[in-house]
Formats: sequence, structure tokens, C-alpha cells
Amino acid sequence: MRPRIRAVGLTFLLAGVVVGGIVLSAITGQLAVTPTEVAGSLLRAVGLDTAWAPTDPIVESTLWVVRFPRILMGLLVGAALAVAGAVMQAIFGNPLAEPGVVGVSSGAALGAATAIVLGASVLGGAGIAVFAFLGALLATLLVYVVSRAGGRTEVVTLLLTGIAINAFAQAGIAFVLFVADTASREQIVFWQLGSIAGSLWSQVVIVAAVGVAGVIAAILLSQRLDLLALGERNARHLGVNVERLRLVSIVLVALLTGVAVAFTGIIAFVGLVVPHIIRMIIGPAHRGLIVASAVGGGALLVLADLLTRTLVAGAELPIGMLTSLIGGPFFFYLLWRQRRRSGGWA
Amino acid sequence: MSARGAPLIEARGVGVRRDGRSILSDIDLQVRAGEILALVGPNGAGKSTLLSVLSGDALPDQGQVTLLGRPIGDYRALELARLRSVLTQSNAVSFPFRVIEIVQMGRNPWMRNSTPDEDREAVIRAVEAADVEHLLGRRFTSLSGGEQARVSLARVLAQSTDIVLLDEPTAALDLRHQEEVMRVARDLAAQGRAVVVVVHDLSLAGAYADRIALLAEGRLDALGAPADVMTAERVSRVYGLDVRIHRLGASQRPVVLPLRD
Repeated sequence: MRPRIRAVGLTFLLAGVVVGGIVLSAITGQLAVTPTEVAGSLLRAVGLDTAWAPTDPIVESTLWVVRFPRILMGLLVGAALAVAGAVMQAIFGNPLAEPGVVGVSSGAALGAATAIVLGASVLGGAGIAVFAFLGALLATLLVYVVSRAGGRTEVVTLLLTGIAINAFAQAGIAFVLFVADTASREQIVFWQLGSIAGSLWSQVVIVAAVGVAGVIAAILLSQRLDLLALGERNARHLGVNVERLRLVSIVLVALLTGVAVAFTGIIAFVGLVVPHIIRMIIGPAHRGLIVASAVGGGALLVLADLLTRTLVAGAELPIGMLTSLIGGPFFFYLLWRQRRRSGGWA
Repeated sequence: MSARGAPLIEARGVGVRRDGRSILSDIDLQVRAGEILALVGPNGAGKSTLLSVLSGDALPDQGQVTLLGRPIGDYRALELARLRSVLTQSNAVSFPFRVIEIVQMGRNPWMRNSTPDEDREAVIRAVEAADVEHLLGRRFTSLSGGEQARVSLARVLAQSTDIVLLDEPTAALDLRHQEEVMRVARDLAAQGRAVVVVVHDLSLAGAYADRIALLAEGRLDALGAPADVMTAERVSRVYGLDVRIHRLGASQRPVVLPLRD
């Protein structure tokens, strides 16, 4: 029972961080807004007129056009990436599997870039998301087929496969850039850096629909993902239809990664860092892990986004760059620890 | 539970080929309720392959395996998990789950078909039988090989199935725990379950099994009561090593000793 209490406690703590991050994020920016104005504006949106409600229409539009969609996008993308990481680690039986590291994000990026060049304006946001999903799906399947042996994945094979897929996808993106016209080229370069600035409500709605459905699906799979830790054969002996679970999980990872990458570019290491820290605190049981990862991933990106806006005055850093700056050294640390423990790269 | 002596698993003319090489051929055997059937034989004789065919992990290339009269390939994974449990040789766990969580995983097949009380009771009984109570709070990944094997056995016992297949359950265990595991197998059989166990120690098989299946080069060399199967001539021939067989007690349980200078 104790671990469950811990899991619930951690989730609430992270939820508190999310709320704090949201408020901070909403009041911070070129136009100063007070917390009461944020609360009043939100209350007015649900039909409650209070004295707190902002009177200045510029404040109102800043909140609803610029800041709220951006905050929500950060929350959703963070949750999607963290949960995608947790599910991926479960089916690979390896805590180092992560959409960014093994090339799933690059696959999604190649798909999205292709969509932009082919004329995303015709297809709309959903078109980019579909292409990103297909790219992510192909990449996940490829890593999966190439790098697994006997239900587990060696670190070396996993990373080498990731290098190959990342290299191929980057080359593909370079080719797409080469054939693109100037406008598309600018759009791709900017988007590739990873940014949740300028998120539109129409995009937020797509990410919300896929993200929420994906996280719920992951929670429903969680008990079976636990059993997968025993190895595929043992999981099958315990009644898990392993083939179906694998397939559903791969599609899930591709969906969550694809929809996140489609609108915000590659934001790496969220799927690695968040589940890892949560596993250290509450243990590896997947139900608690997935719920807490969703909340923790959201918290991380909302705070990271806040940092990108405030670290350098008057400028905005790409958020993907920031997460890689933090996540890269963390990944080194994990590799070093795993290597020391197992005495090799197994 | 099935009537004692009723055949639960039946293999008829089973043959398995891998990479063009015959691993098993012409295996006919029954696993009956209330008995321990020991599979013995030299390395590479096909014991583990036979066990994986009997468990439904692999389908035979020739012949067929039926479980309660129905071809084993016709069962869904969950149906099978309620009828038979399997202790495999490799029991690595990818993430640092606690021992209690691992044992509870054995209850998965009964998720919607048992009360929490039944689950708790099954887990407690399994934990006692496998002697892992003192390990419950530990991380599985921090245990020694023998402890991991016993925890995995507890998980298999918690599954509470009529058929229990054990692939070398004694391999990593000390003398006392080897005996205890075989006693657990005997208790299972006494409850009317069918137990198939792969062991290397012929004396251990001789002491606890009701019947022994001796495999040699993928064929069933002998199948019967330990006293009948374990003859010095047969064991020496199959293993390529001169042995002497002592017979202990009224039951004439065979103890196998290699001839040494």
C-alpha cells in the first residue's frame, strides 16, 4: 500500500507544480499581468463575473490568444512525450529507450517536414500531425524490429539503431529543406528547433484530443506493461497477448510522439528524464508511473518554457535546445551508471 | 480440479525441427493429475524444447499436444494462463520491481475472476511455500540468483493452476532449497495438480518423481517409475558415463552415483 500512497502524493505534488507553473507562466512576459487578473479572466470564461476580471482588452487578448494556448501546449506535449517514453521503455525492457534518442522524434520530424513542403496549408494542422504520426510509426517499427532480441534490447544495439535512424531522418529533412521553397524552408528551420511559442488553439485541440486519449490508453495498458518486465515468454505464460500488446504500444508511442513533434518540433529527453526520476521515487509499477509521468512531463515543459522566455531578456530560446542542454548530461549520467553496474554495455 | 490420474496434457507423435535439425521426434506421453513427471536427460537431449511444447510456447512440427483434450494451439493466452503455469530458466526482470509485486503478478490471469481475499491468500501461500517471506520488501534486481529463482517460483505458485511446468527449478539453489522445492512439487501433486519438472540431478528426480521420462537425442528412451527407468545400464548408455545405482528404502528409490576412482 505504501508505494501507492507515495505515487498519489507525488502526483499531487507535481500537479501543484503544474498549477504554480501555469500561474507564473500566465503573468510573466512583456505585458505584466497580475495573478488576480488571470483568475478573473478564467472565471469570466466559465461565466462568473468577478471584480478580478481584467478590464484592459489587451490583457484579455494577451492571455487568451498568446499565453493560454502556449501553456496548454506545453502541458500536453510534456505529458505526451513523458508517457511515450515510459511506454517505450516498457516494451523495449530498457530504461534508456526514448523517442528522441532512438530516432522516433526524427522520424516524426521528417514526416512533418514533408507535410510542410507538400503544402501543409492545404492539409491544415491535422495533415502535419498525420504525416508526423506516420514518420514516427515507421521509425518505431524499424527500431523495434532491428534492435530487439529475445524480448529485451541491449543498450548498444538500441543506441546504434538510434544513430542510424537519426542520421537517415536528418538527411531526409536536409533533402526536404533543399527542395523546399523559401517560405517552407523558414517554417521548417524554425519549427525544427523545437518551440511551443505561437501555438494556436486549433493545434492545441488536436494535441489535446490525441494526447488525452493516448495517456488514457497507456493507463489501461499499464498492468500488462508491468508483466512485460518479466520477459515476453513469462508475460505470455501469465495470459498477456504479447504480440497485440506490442503492436498497440508501438502505435501509441508513435501517436503521442507524432502529435507532439508535429506542432512543436523535436523536444528531446523529456521521455527519458521524467519517467526515470519518477521510477526512482515511486518504483517501476506502470500505473502510477504513467500518471505521474504525464503530470511531471507537463510540469517540466511549462517550467522549461517559462525559462526560455526569461533566461535571456528580450529574447526567446528554443525549448528543444533547453531540454537537450539539461537532458544530454543526464543521459550521460544514466549511461555511465548502467555501464558501471553491469560492467559493460549490455 | 480433475480426477487423480486423469491425463491433463497429452503429446502424440510430437516432433520438433529447428534449422533443418531434428530436436525432438516421436514423443508420446501423458501428464496426469496428481503426479510429478520428471524430464531428465543429457544436455541437448530436448528437455526444455519438450517443456516449451507442452506449455504451448512452441507448436510441434509433427504430431500434436492436447490440453484437457483440446489442441493447445486453440487456447487463447489468458485461457492457457488459468490452466498451466510455467517456471522458465531465465527470470530476469527489466525494472526494479519489489518482490511482493513480482509474486502478485502471478495473479494476473485471475484478475476479474477472483476476490481480493483469494488473491491475498494465494500470494501468502505461495510466498510461504517458496520461502521468500523475508525478501518481500526487497527489489527483485538486488537479489542473488537463487533468491530470484525462488521468488519466480512463488510467482508461478501464486498463479494457482492445475498444471505446473518447472524448467530446472533447482538449478541455482542450495541443498536445502533444492529439497524444499521438490517438496513443494510433491505437495502440488498431492493436491491433485499435475507437475512436470526438468531436473539434472537424477537422484533428486528418483527421490521425488512419480514417473521419469528419460530423453536422449530428442527421443524418449524410457518412461516409467523411477525404479524401472533408472538402471545402471540405461543411465550409463544415455549419459556416456559409468554409474552405480543404489536403491534406498522399501520404495527402492534410486540414487545415482558416478563411478569414481
